[in-house]
Amino acid sequence: MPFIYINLLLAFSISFIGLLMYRSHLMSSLLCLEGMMLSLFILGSLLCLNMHSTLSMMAPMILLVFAACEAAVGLALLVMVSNTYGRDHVQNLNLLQC
Amino acid sequence: MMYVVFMMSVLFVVGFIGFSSKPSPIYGGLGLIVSGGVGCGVVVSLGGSFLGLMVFLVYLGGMMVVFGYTTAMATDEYPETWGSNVVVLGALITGLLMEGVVVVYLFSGGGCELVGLDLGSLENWMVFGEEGGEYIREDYVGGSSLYDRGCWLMLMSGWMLFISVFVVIEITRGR
Amino acid sequence: MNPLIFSMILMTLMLGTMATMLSSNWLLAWMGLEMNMLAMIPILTMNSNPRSTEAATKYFLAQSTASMLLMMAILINFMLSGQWTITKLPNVVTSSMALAALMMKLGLAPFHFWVPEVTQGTSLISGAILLTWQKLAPLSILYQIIPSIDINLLIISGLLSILVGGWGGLNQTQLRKILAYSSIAHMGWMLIIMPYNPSLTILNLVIYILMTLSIFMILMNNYSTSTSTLSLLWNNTPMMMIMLMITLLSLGGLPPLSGFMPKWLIIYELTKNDNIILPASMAMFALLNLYFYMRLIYSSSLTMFPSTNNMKMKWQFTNPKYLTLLSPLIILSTLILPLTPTLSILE
Repeated sequence: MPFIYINLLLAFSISFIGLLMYRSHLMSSLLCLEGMMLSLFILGSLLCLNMHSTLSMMAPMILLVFAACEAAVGLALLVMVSNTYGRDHVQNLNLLQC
Repeated sequence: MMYVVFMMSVLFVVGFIGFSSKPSPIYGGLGLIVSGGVGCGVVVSLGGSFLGLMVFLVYLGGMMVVFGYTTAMATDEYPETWGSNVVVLGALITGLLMEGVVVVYLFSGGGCELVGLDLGSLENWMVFGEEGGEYIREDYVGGSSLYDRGCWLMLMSGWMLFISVFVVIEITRGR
Repeated sequence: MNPLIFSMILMTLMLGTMATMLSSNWLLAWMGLEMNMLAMIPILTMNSNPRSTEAATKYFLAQSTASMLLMMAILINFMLSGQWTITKLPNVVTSSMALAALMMKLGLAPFHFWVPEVTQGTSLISGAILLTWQKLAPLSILYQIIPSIDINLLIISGLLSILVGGWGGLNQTQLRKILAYSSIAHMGWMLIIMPYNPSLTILNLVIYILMTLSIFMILMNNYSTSTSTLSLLWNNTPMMMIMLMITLLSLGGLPPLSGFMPKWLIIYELTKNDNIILPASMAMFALLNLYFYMRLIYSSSLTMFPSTNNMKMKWQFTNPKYLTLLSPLIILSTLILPLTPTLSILE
């Protein structure tokens, strides 16, 4: 496996761990989600370029489209959360805890 | 050139560590912008100029505007930088150490290819047609085959973009 | 919600599930999952209040993380095998990542924490969609990749989710949380039998969907979301109380009712494969589930629940709903145990 893939996998897992950390703003979690999507995009396009699989070049573009949809929905939820709670800290989301 | 690309990917990971240690979203957005730009550079220098352009435009042109707006809406009075909080600083240092260990390990191991692609040759050009001499960039062809082979994929993506407008409106409308 | 927009969103929900179930390509399956998730968010926030916003946020975070993880598994699979077709995953890292992502989507045991909270925060109809329809798409992908998944991981997770589904519901008084925990437990049964006999997974899924839908419809019929309002059901519609009792017993898996059929066949199949301890412990953990169903039955039909007078007058100010599908669903979810011998045709 080329070294650059190892770096990309490392980037993915770092932002995954960052998403799972239960602190600070919801916005930071959304940024981590976007970061995961970015590393997936780079990894996917590098894989397609390395393998010369031309038709697979569609996959990263579709990935980007769905990333845009997810970012839009995530930001809408962020706006709703900060409208209802005043802040957007993830620790505030505790109405429904068992 | 290979080392430049590899160093760009290291910088990519450093940007990821920057926003994954969860400072205030302003600085996190900065880290994501750095990572997006560097990632675009990686893709472009490995031969995917169209895909690189797209990630550059979509990330830095489209999403960052929205992220900047939302960050301005949900900002702190005293934003956390990487140095102002023990947790953030610890996460940052741990991540940088991890990346450093990986880089040192990779360079000391040796014997493995760095980027996995032979740069400077015409490998990223695809021979097309029967009589030779016609070259087509494969990521252009791959991207534009979304209109041909992948028209249903494009229809589904377009439908999803169309729907997500209504989804966003329905979420934020309230009652 | 505007009926036109609502129908478009519902159509996208179904389109996403259909795309996932029908496609043999990883990319298309992933797109279907993503469409399904994005279309579910406005359904969760149909009644806009802080609880539904929080539920939608938690659902979004859990599901999109799972989507990313699944895409990573797909890309690693593409790197190793060079193809996008959904077939046997050759590498253990890939299959474990895909299993973790699908378990996060289904709400199985180590990743189950979002299920009760999201279900509690939404309205009854959204909860019914969340606990029934949303299980179809991830389960269909799991059905296709099950031969390449490590069986020990699968059995540990399934057993853990049966245990957690029984244990977590013991202390709850909110009906939606109880149903969410029962969903976790049923998912555990489906997961465990999947490597041995996948058709039994489908059978269990179908019967679970029938039972959960009928319970949700009974609850919708008299607007009750907690045990204290459910205990006044005898005041409102006495027949419905008996139907609820029988359906809950069927959900718990007691013999003359149809909920017994999947449990019976699963235990039979497992013992046929020389597993003795596994089905025994599964059956014992299911007793925990049965305990809190019995507590619901006890407080709703066997006792006069202590309540104030104006709570009893609830029938005065709610208009009755007439749900057409309720009676066929109750019949299907209680009385189809005698149809079990015909299942041998399906083999």
